[in-house]
Amino acid sequence: MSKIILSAKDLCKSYASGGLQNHVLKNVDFELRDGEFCVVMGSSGSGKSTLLYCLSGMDTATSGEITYKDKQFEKLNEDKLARLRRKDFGFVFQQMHLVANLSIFENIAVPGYLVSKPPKVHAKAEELMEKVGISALNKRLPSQVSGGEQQRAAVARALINSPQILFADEPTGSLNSKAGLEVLDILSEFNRGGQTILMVTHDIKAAIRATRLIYIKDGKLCSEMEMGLYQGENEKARESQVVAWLTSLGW
Amino acid sequence: MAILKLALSLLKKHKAYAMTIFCLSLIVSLMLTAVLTVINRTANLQNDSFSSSKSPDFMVFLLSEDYDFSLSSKLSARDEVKSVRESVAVFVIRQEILFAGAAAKNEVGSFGQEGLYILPYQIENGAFKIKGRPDQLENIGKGEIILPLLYENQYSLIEGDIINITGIEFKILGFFEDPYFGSPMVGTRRVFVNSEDFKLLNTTENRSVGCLFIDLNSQMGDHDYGENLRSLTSNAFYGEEDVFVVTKAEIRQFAMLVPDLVAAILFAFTLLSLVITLYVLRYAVLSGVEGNYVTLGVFKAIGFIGRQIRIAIMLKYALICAIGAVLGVFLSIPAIPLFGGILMDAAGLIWSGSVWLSGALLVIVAIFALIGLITFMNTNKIKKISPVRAISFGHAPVYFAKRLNLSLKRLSCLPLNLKMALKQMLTRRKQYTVLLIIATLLAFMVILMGSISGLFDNDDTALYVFGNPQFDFSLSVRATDDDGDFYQKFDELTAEFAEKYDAVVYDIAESYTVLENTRVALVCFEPFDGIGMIEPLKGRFPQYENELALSPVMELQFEKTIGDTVIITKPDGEEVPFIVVGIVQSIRDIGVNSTIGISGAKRLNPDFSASNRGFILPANLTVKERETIVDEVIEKYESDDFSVMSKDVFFGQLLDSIRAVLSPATAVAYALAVVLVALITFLLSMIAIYRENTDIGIFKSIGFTSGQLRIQFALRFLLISLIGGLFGIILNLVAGNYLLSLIFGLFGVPKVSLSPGAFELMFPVVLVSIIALLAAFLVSGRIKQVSGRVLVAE
Repeated sequence: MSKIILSAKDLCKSYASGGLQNHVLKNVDFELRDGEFCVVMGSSGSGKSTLLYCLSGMDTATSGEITYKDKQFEKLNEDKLARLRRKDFGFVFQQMHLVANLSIFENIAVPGYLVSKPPKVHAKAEELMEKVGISALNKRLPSQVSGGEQQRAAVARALINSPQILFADEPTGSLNSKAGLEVLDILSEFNRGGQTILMVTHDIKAAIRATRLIYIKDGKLCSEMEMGLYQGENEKARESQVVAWLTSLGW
Repeated sequence: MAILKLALSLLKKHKAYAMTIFCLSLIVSLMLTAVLTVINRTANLQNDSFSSSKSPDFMVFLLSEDYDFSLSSKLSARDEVKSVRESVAVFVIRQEILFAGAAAKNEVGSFGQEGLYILPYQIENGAFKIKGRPDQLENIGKGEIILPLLYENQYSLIEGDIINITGIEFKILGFFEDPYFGSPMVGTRRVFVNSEDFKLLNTTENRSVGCLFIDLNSQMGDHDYGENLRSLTSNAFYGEEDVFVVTKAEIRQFAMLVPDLVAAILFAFTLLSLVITLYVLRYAVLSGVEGNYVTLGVFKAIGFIGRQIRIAIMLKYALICAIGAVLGVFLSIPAIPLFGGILMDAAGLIWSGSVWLSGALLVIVAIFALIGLITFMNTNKIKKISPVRAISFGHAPVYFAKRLNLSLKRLSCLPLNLKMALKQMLTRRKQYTVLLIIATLLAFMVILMGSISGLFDNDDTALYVFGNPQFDFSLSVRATDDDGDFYQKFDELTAEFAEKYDAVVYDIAESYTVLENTRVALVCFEPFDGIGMIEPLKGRFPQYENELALSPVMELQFEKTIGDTVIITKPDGEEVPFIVVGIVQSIRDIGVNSTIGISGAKRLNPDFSASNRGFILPANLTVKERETIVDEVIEKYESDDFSVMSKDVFFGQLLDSIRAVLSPATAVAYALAVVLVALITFLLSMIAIYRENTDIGIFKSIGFTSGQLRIQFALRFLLISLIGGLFGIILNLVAGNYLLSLIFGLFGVPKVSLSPGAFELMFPVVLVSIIALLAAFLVSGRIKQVSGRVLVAE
């Protein structure tokens, strides 16, 4: 079994709203292993995105411990967390969130500049664009390409620094089914290449790509299911397996 | 009511915008009220002072040793003359006046250029306002003296200091406002003593001078007044020798030259600030509409019509600005005496008066109306907002300009933060155009102000601007009779100085003549070359006896130009034609002057001999060496017969007083530029952070630290203000001289050449850029509060 690279213990997250405390995560324990494709599912407001952002250091937990490679998040200041994000983590968002005034190539390359010399970054960016199938779009602005192409660019941007973990928050949520599948194929391809992925989704088509599924309800992890590595085969069987698991959880 | 509530809700949402617009409106209102009040009041102050001191329409000083008052009856007989009053003054040369300045220090010095006219103080002949005293002075006690205001600061004198005039001691009773001779722009000075003391002075060996105080029949402001005065002074005195005539109309122009100049510059600067405020407001309004596209769509969806929303936005800004404007008017109350006092010092007058209420009201209404109009015009887009589109799609996609959009790949050689700042700046040019234009204008104005100030910081450039030849010291014949011995000695001394000090020497003389039936100051020089004279605007300096150069003012007035003939009327009525060979500018008599050579002067008067010579020491001497030589010459040769005057004595008072006004005006310009840049950068930074909230979240999510993003953010403003500042420099180099010439043209010098140094050019740019950098960095603190959570779509 591969080693644990990210873990959370007793993780709680609350928001104050209108004088009331809204407990979004309640004593969550979680582990992410190297090379796995972990998918977190749950209904709206269950806390899955909050879990993702806490685990990635984008948001701070109210209590509990998050440990990444012997580094405890609560002991890291904002700058150290930023450095962690730039080198070890990559992000793909539901709304793509490409910087509107940078070209597709620049969007992909910018995080690279934080870590490596420009020539190396440019070579890597071109390689990734080739891999995700958008090499012809390098000079276009985000507003000049389709949603699917934007999301592929976002995946390439997330991978520019060869991160240890790729976090994906509903990466197909804003895409049509064809574009969504293309993005999922890319993620699966990278996972097969050893990329660790933690993804939050509602989408069963996305969920079947997982090697492990976790279900979160009312801020608590209530179930998980191991699956084999997705090879692009047996899709129907994997889908049935996931549906059955979700049905058992009251999905 | 609903509109007002809507206005208030919009106000709450954009507190930072509102605060900035409020501050800008306050500053503009403060400046406008202060400048308009001072401009409005200064002319009245001068008139009031003329009136209370019973200043005549013109004065005649009879300088001949054996003068008589026969001219008085001749003048009285003329139709246009209402009254002539005779008086006697005592003229005392400067070496005979000593003072113990600022008593405690017991510094000894002497003042005046040539000397002073001393007159007896008689309240019935006019009362003077004394600084620090509410009432006009009724009487001067025995052993007391009153001095013009100018001397207080010039010589660090205080009430109670002792003045020694030809051995008789006087205690300073106070400093009076002299509307006639109180301005540093006028070379003559008068002081007043008790009648008995005056009699005592008059019996000593001092020179007695006859004075005539003449009033005309026409009332001030009448159309005929100027014509009467011109014709009278042109014709009545030209035949008289040793007569010095000075008119109220001339004094009015001379005395107010510097205050008018500075007020005009500050007024221009204030108008520029108003334009900047309106421009910034326009940007804020447009940004507000874009940023609230969805909210405005919601307002429409719940029943507000476009016009109601526009009125609400207009009300929001107009009310803020009106409040700012009212507060600005109140704040101008303490600023006005300060500003007015500085300007009036340059006219030798005492400032009095408060806010010009009509002007203040006008300012408030104008600001309210302009802001309302600009806001209403720029909210036109609201009409086109469809509630469904707004709510469904948010605001329209933003397309970024491709031109000048350098790729990050091409900027690889730059450090990351600079690269990102440059990229953001270039791709969001529209957003930063406001700052670019404002930085350009402010840098231009501040450089211009600094350059004007710089012109007068240097004696030589100031002389040049005034159309004077350069000189280190001058030698003039003081004796009034025509004894040939004096002139022989004068020539001997000239030759001695020229040889001993290797000095360039030129003759210079000034008088009034009747040129084309107009009283015109006639300046005679020779030689013209090598004496640092400003080059003729057209043609050349006169070389032969029948040649003459007109000033640009005269060129326009007479409609004569190079090659034309003009007529000088001699005292005996003989008309002498001269050919115009050049157009030469000089500030003398506000441009009402012309220039001839010494040979031309001899053509008018064969006995003419220049009684004044200028000496220019070799350029390779140090300042210290020059001072040593000048001091040596003065000590050795100054006498009852000859006057030796240094440039400092001749020009120092005037330059000091100009500097005393220009320095604070320049400081105000700098302060205004700093405040405007800080406020505008603050506003633009707030808008930028508001607009780029998501982008900041993205950059944080991919590993940029808050510190990096803040540096990049502030760098954008630094770069844009630096570029704006550089444009300001270019604008200054292209248009600075033109604008300056327009301003100085009002005062008879239509061509002024500025050559600002690197420091004068760069300092304002660096200042404006640093302020923009600091303000942006300060506001960028808000970046710390932006987290990746802004990217969560739940």
